[in-house]
Amino acid sequence: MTLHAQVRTRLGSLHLDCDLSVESDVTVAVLGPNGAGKTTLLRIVAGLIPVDEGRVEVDGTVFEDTATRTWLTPEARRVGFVFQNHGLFPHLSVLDNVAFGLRARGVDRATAHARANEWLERVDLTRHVASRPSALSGGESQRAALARVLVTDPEILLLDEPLAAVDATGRLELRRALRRHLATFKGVRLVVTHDPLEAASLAERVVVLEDGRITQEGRFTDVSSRPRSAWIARMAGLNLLRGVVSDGSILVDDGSRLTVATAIEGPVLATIQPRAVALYRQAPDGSPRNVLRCTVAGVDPEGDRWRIRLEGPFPLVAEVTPAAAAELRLAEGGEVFAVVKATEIDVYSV
Amino acid sequence: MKIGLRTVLVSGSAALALAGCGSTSTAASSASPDPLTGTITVFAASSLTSALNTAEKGLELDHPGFKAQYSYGSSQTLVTQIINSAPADVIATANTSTMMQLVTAGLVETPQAFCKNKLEIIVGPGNPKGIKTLADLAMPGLSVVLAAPSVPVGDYSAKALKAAHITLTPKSFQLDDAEVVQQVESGNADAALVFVTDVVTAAGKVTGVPIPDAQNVIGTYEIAVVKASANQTPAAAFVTSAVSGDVHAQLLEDGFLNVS
Amino acid sequence: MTRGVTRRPLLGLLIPAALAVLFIALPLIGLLVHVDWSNLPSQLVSTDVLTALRLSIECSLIAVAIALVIGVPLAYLLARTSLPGRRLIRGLVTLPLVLPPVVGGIALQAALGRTTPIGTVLDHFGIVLPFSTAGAAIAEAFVGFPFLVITVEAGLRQRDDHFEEVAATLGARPWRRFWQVTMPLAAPSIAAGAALCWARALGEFGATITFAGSFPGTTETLPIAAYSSFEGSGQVGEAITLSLLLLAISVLVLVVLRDRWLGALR
Repeated sequence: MTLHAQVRTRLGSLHLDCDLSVESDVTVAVLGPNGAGKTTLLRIVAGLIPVDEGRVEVDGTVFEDTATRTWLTPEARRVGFVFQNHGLFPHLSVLDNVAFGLRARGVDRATAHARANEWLERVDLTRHVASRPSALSGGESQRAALARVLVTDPEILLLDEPLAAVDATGRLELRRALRRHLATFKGVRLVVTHDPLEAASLAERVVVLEDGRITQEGRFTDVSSRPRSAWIARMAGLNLLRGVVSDGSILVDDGSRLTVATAIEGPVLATIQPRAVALYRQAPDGSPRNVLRCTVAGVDPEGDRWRIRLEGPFPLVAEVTPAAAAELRLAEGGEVFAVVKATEIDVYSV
Repeated sequence: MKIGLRTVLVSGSAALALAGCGSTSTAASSASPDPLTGTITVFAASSLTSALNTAEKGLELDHPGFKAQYSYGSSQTLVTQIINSAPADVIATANTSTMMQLVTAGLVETPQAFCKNKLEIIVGPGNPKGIKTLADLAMPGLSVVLAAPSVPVGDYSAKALKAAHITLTPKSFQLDDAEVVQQVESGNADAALVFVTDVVTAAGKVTGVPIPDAQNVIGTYEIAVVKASANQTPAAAFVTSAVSGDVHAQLLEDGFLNVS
Repeated sequence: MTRGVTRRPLLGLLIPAALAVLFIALPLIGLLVHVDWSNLPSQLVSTDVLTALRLSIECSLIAVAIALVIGVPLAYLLARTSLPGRRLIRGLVTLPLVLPPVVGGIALQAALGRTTPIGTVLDHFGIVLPFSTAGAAIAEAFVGFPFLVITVEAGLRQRDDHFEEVAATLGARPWRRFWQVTMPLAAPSIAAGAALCWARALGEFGATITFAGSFPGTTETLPIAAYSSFEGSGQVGEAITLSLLLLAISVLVLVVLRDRWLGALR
C-alpha cells in the first residue's frame, strides 16, 4: 500500500509545496521545526482541509484531485488520526469513546463494545473502561485515543506529535506502547514530530519538512549524519558548511577557505562535529591546519560537555570539557582561535 | 420748540398700532390677569387624548405663557399614581368610580362632571359584515372584541349588552379602548364596542355603527383639581375651561356629549 | 485555606455588588410587604388564578419549544459556519429585544393576522392565530427567541470545531456529528438559553395581549390577569398574588438550573 501526496497549498503565511510517497512497509516520521506545515500535511491527508492544487491518493483510491475536482470527505477516507491533544469526547465514557468510530460506521452496540473492550485491554486501560476522559493521565488518554483509532481498522494511521501532551514519566510507557502497535499495524504509518528523538524511536524513515518544503528524506541515521539543511544539522548537533571544493580546499560560501581531505570536486556540503573543533587562546603555529579567529557568542553548559557558540567567518559550535573552558577563560565576547583538522571535515556532494 | 417730522411719524404710527391692538383684544385681558399661565400637569383618561391635544394648541395660542403637559393612561393607573403622590395638578377620569377613590382619600377638590361619552359599534371600513344593530354582534362566526369590564369603556359595554339581553362571547377582552380600536383596524376583529369619540379619532380606518340611545350606556367623565397641586389657579382655570370653556367646546366638536 | 488567593473578593467590588443585590431585592421585598397573607391561600386556589397559571405554563413551554426548534439550528449556523449575511441575521435576532412589546404584537398581526397572506392560508386549514392560545405562544416565542439564540450562539462560539473534526476522521457523517458531538457539548448553553427564554416568555404581556388578545382560559395569561385585576379593583392585592406566583415559579426554575447556568458560561 502506498500513499501519494502532491500538495501545493497556501494557509496564512505557510506555503506548503511537497511531493510525498509513503509505503506501508515502514513507519515514516515527518520531522521539522514548528510552523513547517507538518500538521497541515496530516490534516490534508485526513481530508480536514482541502488543497489549493494537488492530488492525494492511496493505491488508486483518489482522496483528492484538484485537476478532476475529486474530493472524498474525511468520514469516507479510511484514515485513523491520533490528534495532538487526543480529542477524547468529554461527554462520553472511555468505552463509548473507543466504540465511537465503529458505531459511526453502523456496527451494533454490543459488537462495538466488545471490540472496544478488546482494544482497551491491548492498550492496558481495562480499569478505565467506565471512566470519563478527564480522569485519565496524559499517557492513558493518548493510549485510549490510539485504541479508538485502531479499533476501526484504518488503512492509514496518522499520529500528530503523539508524545507532546504527555509528561516525562508517561512518555516512556507511551513510546513503548506506540512502537508495539505501530509494528503490528499493516497500513501506511505517518508520524509528525518536531522532536528528533521521537522520530528516531518511532520511525525507520524520516522526511524533513521545513517552511513547507521537503529538504531531505531517508533513513534517520543517514539524514542526521549527512544533513542538507541548517535545521537538520542543528538537530543532529553538527556544524554545517556549504561551499565549492577545488584543489583540496573548500571555498565556503562566506568567502573563507578551509583545507579538506576529499576527492570530491564542485558544490558540496560539509559537516564538522562540535568536539572536533579545538579551541586555543593564541593562534597556534606549526603544521598547516584550518585556523579560524572567532568571538565567543555564548557558553551553554550541558553536563560534562560544554557547547561553545562561536561567531567567526561563519557560525560554529565547539564542544569542550568544563576544565578546558575554565583554562581557556572562555567568556562571552572573548576572543578564541578555533582549529579544525582537514580530516575532521566530512564533505559530501550536494 | 421744533418737533422733528420723524418724531411725529414714529409716535403717530405707534398710536395707530396701539389702537389696532386694542380693537382685537378681549375686554377681560385688559381688565384682570389671565389665570391660565404657567405650566400645569394634567392626568387624563386615554380616551380624551385626541380632543385634549387639539384643545391644547388653541389654549397655547390664546394664552401665551400657558402650557399643559398631559399624561394619558387608564383612569385606574392615573388615580393610583396620584395616590402614590404623583405630581399632577388636574385629574380627568372616564368614570365616576375611579374619581371616587381620590375623593375618599381626600386628595382632590370637589370633582365636576365635564362631559359624557356613549358607546358605538366599530367595524371594518365599509362594514363588510353588514352589522346594523347591537344584536348583530352575537352573529355566529363573528370575531368580536370588547374592552375588559375592569376598564370604563368595557364596563359600559358589558352593561349595555346585559340590558339588551344579548349574550356575547368575545374573542378577547382588551385592556384599553385604543387596543380595541387597533384590533378592528388590523382586521383581526370584525366588530367591537368603543366610545363614539374613539370612532371619530380613527375615522377612515374604521366605520362606526351608531347605537340608539335607548340601548346605549352614557358614561360620565369627571375632572378635579388635585389638592396637593402647587398651581391651584391655572389648574382651576383649566377645569373651568373643560367644564364650560374652550376645552369643553373642543370636546363637543370631537364627539363628546354635554353633561346635561 | 482551600481557596486560592486570587479568588478572594475585592473589597472595591463588594459595594457595587451589594447595590446590585439591593436593586433587585428591595422591590421584591416591597412586593412581599404588600401581600395579603391571610387571603393568599384562597386567592391562589381560585379557579381564575389556577386557569391563568395553567395557561401561562402551557404557553411559555410551547414558546420555548418553538424557540428551541428554530433557534438552535440558527444559532449553530451563526456560530459555526460562514453563512453569508450572518451580521445582518444577528442584528435581526436582536430586534424583539429592542422593539416595545406592543409594537412586537402589532408586527405579528401584520405578519400572521387574519387578513395577511399567511393568515389567509392558515385560515384555510382552520388555524386562526389571533385570539388563540397558539397565538399567545407565538407572541411569547417572539420575545423570548433572542435570548435563546444569543446564549446558544455564544456557547457554541466558545468551542472550536476540534471534536467535530475528530468525529469526522472516525467516520461520523455530518448529521451524526451534529447530534452526537455538537449538541451534547452545547447542552449547558442550550439549557441556559431555554431557561432565559422561558422566563421572558412567562412574563410577557404587551405582545401577547396585542396579538392574541386576552380571554380567560384561552389567552389570559398570569401577567395579563394581574394587570386586569389591578385595573378593575384599584387594589394591588390580587395583582401581587398573581405576580408572586410568577415569581415563585421563576425562582424554582432558577434554583434547579443554577449549576447548568454557571456551567454554560465555562
